[in-house]
Amino acid sequence: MKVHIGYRPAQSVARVNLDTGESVIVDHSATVGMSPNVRLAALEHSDRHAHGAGAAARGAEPKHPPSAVAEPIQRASLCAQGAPGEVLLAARWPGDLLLLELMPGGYLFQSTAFVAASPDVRLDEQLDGLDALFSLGATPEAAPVHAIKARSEQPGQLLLGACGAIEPLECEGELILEMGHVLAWEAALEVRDAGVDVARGGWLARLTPARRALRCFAGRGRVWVQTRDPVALGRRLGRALPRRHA
Amino acid sequence: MPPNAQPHADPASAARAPEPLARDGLAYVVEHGPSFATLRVELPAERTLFVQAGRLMRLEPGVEVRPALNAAVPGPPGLWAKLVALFVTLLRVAFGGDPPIADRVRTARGGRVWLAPASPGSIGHRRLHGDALFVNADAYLAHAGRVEVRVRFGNVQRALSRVAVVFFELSGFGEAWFASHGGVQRIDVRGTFLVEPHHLLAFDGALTFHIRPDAGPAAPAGAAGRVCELRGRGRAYVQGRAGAAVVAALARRDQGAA
Repeated sequence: MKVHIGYRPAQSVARVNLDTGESVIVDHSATVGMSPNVRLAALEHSDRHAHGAGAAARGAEPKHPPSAVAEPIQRASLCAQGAPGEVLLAARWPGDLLLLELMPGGYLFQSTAFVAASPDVRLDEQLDGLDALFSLGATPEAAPVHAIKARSEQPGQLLLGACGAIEPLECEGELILEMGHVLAWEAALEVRDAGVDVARGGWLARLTPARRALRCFAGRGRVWVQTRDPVALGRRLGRALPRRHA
Repeated sequence: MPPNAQPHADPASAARAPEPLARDGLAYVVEHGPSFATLRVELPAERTLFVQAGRLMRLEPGVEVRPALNAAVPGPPGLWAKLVALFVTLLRVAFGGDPPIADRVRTARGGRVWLAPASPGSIGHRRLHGDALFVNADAYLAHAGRVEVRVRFGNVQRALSRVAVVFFELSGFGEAWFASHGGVQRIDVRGTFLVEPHHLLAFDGALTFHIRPDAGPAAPAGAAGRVCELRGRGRAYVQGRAGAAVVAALARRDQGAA
């Protein structure tokens, strides 16, 4: 499939061109439009996936138990039948789109960033930061990171949606990042608690979620950060919502 | 726009190289502006940067982050200072909706810190030379230097409503950064200037500030029929969008669809 991204970076839209018989796995909510000959081959309502994107869309059973913090994702397989077709896709946030060519080691990315992938891309869930749930005064920013690992034995593509602009960072040693701003990273990188000021921060440092959201990426590889945190944005706008009456 | 107000383009959003380092100042860069601006601060050794909780995006190794009560109250440490800080923190939580903990960033050998606001938009900066700057509590991003922070309300009646206008008064010597929803527009006020309360980002301490009923069709449509009136000579900063207005529009559509 060929992907062209327009309207960058604030309101990015991806135009995916499919050859005859070619298919793409998409987040159903990311679909903007499609050619009339593009058919929905399969649709899965699920809040957890542990198989390849194609397998999941075909209704395969997940390997792992459901996660309490996973966002519901409807993954659909779209296929161009009888002629070439195109699909228009957009992320759920105002922001840029990131197109990654799959490599053997694979990538990890925030689950809410998924927009589309080639059918052969395998997607496995991972959960990081459960300890933050139990910290004193935990805020939504401290929610565990629900990441997905993408890998493929064959050449494949992965399309992710960012909240805000995207900045690629080369890690050659250590990078300390706030996890809500991390969009994706190469799987070869080690991710651990940044441990910022643990020794001298006192009880407040040990208990506050702001410190716990900092993660250290170690090794050599690339990390893509998004310049807005979707949770922080939602919290900011949500505060202004009118109260609902039952 | 009244004839006594001169608009300027937002210079911060176009910045790429660090701003010139003034004496005792901090060098900084605003990147990815104006839609999704981020702030990079070059923090010298033994200098402290106070950051709104949850706004840290990236740190260089060696930079320490210590949580502090969300009230930068300078002065000699002690029980009284802690009580004042706790009181200010509770006010910010109650009226500003802010988290109780802020980040105090410091480094022993110097390092860089990257900050990102919550809303899509730009970042403004103001260097304080012993004067005061009032910053909308929702817009406050960070400050550094010998700066005292106080909480101010538009008026008490409004403070008790959901459209409360809460400001931080930053005074002293140092730097202040604030984030906008949309672009930052600088207004040099000479006389009187009216602005919708949710669009008012910050203004000089030399200006007097009042919230009053909307003055009619010529005045901006304010929150619940109110407008902010700025008087005097000084600079004000307004933002091109207001989060509350965006949410209200979305909520109306949601209710219409229900």
